[in-house]
Amino acid sequence: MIELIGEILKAIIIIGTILAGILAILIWVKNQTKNITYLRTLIQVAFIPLIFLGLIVGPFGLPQSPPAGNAPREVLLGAENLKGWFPDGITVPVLACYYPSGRTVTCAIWQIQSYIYPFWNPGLGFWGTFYTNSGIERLAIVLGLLIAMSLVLGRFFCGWICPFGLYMDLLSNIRATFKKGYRKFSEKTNTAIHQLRYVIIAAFLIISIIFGSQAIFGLQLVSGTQQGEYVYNYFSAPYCQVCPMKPLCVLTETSLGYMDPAYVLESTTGAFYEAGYFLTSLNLAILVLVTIIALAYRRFWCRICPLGGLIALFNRYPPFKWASITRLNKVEEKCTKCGICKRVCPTQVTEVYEKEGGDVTTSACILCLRCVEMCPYEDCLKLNVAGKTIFKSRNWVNSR
Amino acid sequence: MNVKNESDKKYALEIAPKEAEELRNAIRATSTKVIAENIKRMKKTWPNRPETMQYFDEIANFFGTREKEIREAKEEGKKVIGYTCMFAPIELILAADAIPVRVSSGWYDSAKLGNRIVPVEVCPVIRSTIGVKMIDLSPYLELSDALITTLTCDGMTKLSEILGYYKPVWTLCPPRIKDSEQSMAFWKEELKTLKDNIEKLTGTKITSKKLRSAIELMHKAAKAFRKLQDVRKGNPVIMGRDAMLVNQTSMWDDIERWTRKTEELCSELEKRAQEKAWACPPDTPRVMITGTPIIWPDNWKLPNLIEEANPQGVIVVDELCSGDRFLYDPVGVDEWNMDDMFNAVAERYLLPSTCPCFTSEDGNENRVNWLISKVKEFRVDGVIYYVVRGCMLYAMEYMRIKKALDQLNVPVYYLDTDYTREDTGQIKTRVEAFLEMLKSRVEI
Amino acid sequence: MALPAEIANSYLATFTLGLIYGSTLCTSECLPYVTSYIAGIGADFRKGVTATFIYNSGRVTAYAILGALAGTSKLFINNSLLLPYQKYTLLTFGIISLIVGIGILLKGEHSSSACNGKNCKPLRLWRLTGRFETSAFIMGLSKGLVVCPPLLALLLSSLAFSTPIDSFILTLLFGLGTALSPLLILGGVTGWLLNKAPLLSRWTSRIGALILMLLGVSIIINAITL
Repeated sequence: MIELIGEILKAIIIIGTILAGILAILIWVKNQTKNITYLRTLIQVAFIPLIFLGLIVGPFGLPQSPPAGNAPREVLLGAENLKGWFPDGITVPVLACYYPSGRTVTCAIWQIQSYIYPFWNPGLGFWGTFYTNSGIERLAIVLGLLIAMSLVLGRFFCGWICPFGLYMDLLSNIRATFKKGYRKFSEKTNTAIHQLRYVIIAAFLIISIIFGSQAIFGLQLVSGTQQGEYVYNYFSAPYCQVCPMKPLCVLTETSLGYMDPAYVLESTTGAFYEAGYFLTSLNLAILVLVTIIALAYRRFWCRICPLGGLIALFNRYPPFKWASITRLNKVEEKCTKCGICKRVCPTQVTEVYEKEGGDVTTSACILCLRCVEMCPYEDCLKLNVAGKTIFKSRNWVNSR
Repeated sequence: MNVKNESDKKYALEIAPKEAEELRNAIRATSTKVIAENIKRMKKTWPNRPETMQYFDEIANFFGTREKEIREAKEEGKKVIGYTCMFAPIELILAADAIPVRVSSGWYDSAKLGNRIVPVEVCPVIRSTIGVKMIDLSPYLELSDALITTLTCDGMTKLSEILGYYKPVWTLCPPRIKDSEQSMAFWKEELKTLKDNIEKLTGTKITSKKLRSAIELMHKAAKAFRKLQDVRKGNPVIMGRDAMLVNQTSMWDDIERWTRKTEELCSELEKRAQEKAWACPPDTPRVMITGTPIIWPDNWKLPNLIEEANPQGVIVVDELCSGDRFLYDPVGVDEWNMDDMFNAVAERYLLPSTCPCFTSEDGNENRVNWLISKVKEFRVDGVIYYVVRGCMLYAMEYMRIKKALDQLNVPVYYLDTDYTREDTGQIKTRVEAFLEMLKSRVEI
Repeated sequence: MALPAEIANSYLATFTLGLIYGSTLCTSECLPYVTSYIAGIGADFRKGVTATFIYNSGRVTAYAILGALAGTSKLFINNSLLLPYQKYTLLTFGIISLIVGIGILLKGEHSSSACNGKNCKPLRLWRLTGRFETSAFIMGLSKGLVVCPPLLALLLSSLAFSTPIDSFILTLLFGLGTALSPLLILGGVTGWLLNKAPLLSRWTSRIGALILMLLGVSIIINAITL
């Protein structure tokens, strides 16, 4: 009882601090071309402990893998209530990687890939977790949660919550401190890169099904996909082998002392360390590549992120398009086509500039609201949630 | 264009120096009289004109304080860069510590002089500017060390050549199609060349710090301007001509001082709004002028007629590149490094422009949207579409604008005139008829 | 797997069996070919489903032919014929996959997809009455002719107890059961996802064709070493 009160108090204090931070920004930051950005950074930073360190919600504790390290208790959201039914944490459509030690929620892509095992019956999954329902049921839950969240917030997750987004914004800020300009792709290249997401989703979907063929169809298509074999062990979640978030999280936690580096290195295999549970040469190389490119081209990963693509599929295309709740709206008359929105957009979205008013949300837009912040005409661009305006463009010239 | 020497005027058509001297003195005298008279008329229409307007009256005198200031600055080594059109990037000029002055001509009498070189059918602003150069009338044009001309319309294109005989002219060629990637790239290259020219002339390198302070200075000016706009949205606390004068003086005045004075004026006007001290009765028909530029002093013909007519009209907003368009769009900078600032400046001067010199897929919807939103914000009762004879571009857009404004049920009146005083009577009759119609509509 | 005689004689049971095998073994086996084919021809959801449907109908036709042959000529009783038969049908299937892949690759190089700056029309190598509809059918046909174990068992058990018409109908029902498989949806989803990337349709087409070719080659090698 006392513990519960203690935990509730802790939660109230933490939420209160965050709200105070938000209010402080809204009131004291006079520069109206920056305050939404500060707000967004605050919320992104606030979500890091929420997603990874499990410091907010508690006191349920599941023992995490002891050899992996001394992370703060793994506090999986919902795990206590859902138990063996859905024990890996609530699905959130951000890159909240499954692999590092401290976790509260889980990345949707990992869940979609790994809940193929076991498919038809309850049974043992990875990491010793025992599921009391079948893979199909778990996949249905994951898909349901993903669709619901995509409809409610859309790619707001990408702009305001995703930790990898924070990483890329940090890279941008580092570049800005050195007074270096950013680079842009040509419009055609940019559109092609944005469309690459869907090809990546298709490719990994098919590869997952092929690797999981034994579990789903009972027929092994590729050798090594039986339980306990090489491909099964290391490549069952094929996207996670190339995702740059995994090495980022693992490196961060290892350097903070929460994960045991020896164990991390031990769990790699292959001649070039290309396969493994945590850090491999492959995903490290991808992380380095994405980092270097993101230094020049803003929010580079967001343009090819398959999770972003999934959210976009369930938010921006019919029939989901009409039920989507969070939208960016433009009042056509007030638009002078000054092009500021097109220029400041980190992912180089041009539809906000080109479309003629009304709903201008697009699949490439991460709802970072930089365009709304920088539009110098009052009330021209707005963020509407269920029809109500939350943020709108203001006459920021007045604040100079 | 290359710098031309004074002696290199191979094809320039000259006027005898004695005649030039006589004409200059004559027109100068007339002009001074016209300036004083305009100000008197404005004071008469608005009896309790605020004291702060005195400052703007002074600056409006071409041959007075401001000319002296610029001369003194020149002697101290500052450079003066003139520009004929709103496409010239003021921020770049300010960042190089030079003085920007607009040299478009508003003198009627010099237009006749221009007729000696170019046909009567040419735009009167162009003819007037040529005439002004022939007799060295405009102090700002004379004091300019270089001129920025933009090749927007036929008149401007040839004017650049003609002025090039007398002064170093830097041309800017805005692409006729604004929104393709190649146009933007081309426009940025044009501005880069301009920047190099400015740096060479002034001997100052435009660093990112200087550019930043120039942009921020213009932001403050835009802030003051928007305040003035907001004040005009309610019942009239300031007569249109005075507001137009305030806006126009920003084109040759010291921007910092102008901003300060405008802010003072706005605080006073806001106080008057609270005290309900209207400049004219609140039910006066509210007029918007759109079209070719109306330049001080002689071309104040139309505003004078509107605001002194019986029934009186008040000009609440205008869509003129010599007026409310000048400071309307701010430069939106994302990251304060040289690249982004330069791109921001380049885009600000090209993309939101409502000038009809472009071909756009959506039919210059920029301008239509601007007019529609202003009609709504300022509760405009009627629009006067003002075109100087010879301007094809504005004349050709009339039908489209009329159709758009008809949908808002706002009457549009096409008024074309020239740089002459002789048709004042005619225009007066037409304007009064239009205002009568507006008045009766307002009463309904 | 041994089929009890009573069940084997029931039409409904055969159909159900076809459904079960269709949604598991057949989907799994045909998945790589169908998805790379759909990637190759640049289809959207509807056309992806249609392509899969036509592929499936090729298989059903193959099963029907086999059933008719088995019923009339009782050929498959002879085990010594089975191995060379498998070898040659596998070889045929491999070669056909290879040819279809090469065909898509060549056709893709020569066809022009309208690309004007921003908007690119996706590569549409699909025509309802043309080479590619037939190639899906032929691929399905040759795949079906490679007798898979459940089909073999069905044929063997049906021989002893039925007339030639019976074995034809039984295999036809079995085939129809396998045709209604999740492969249709998977094919449609693949087409839908890839259609969201029209600017990259040339590349997805090439990759799909290449994968098809590689699969064909691996089957040929498999067949030769059998």
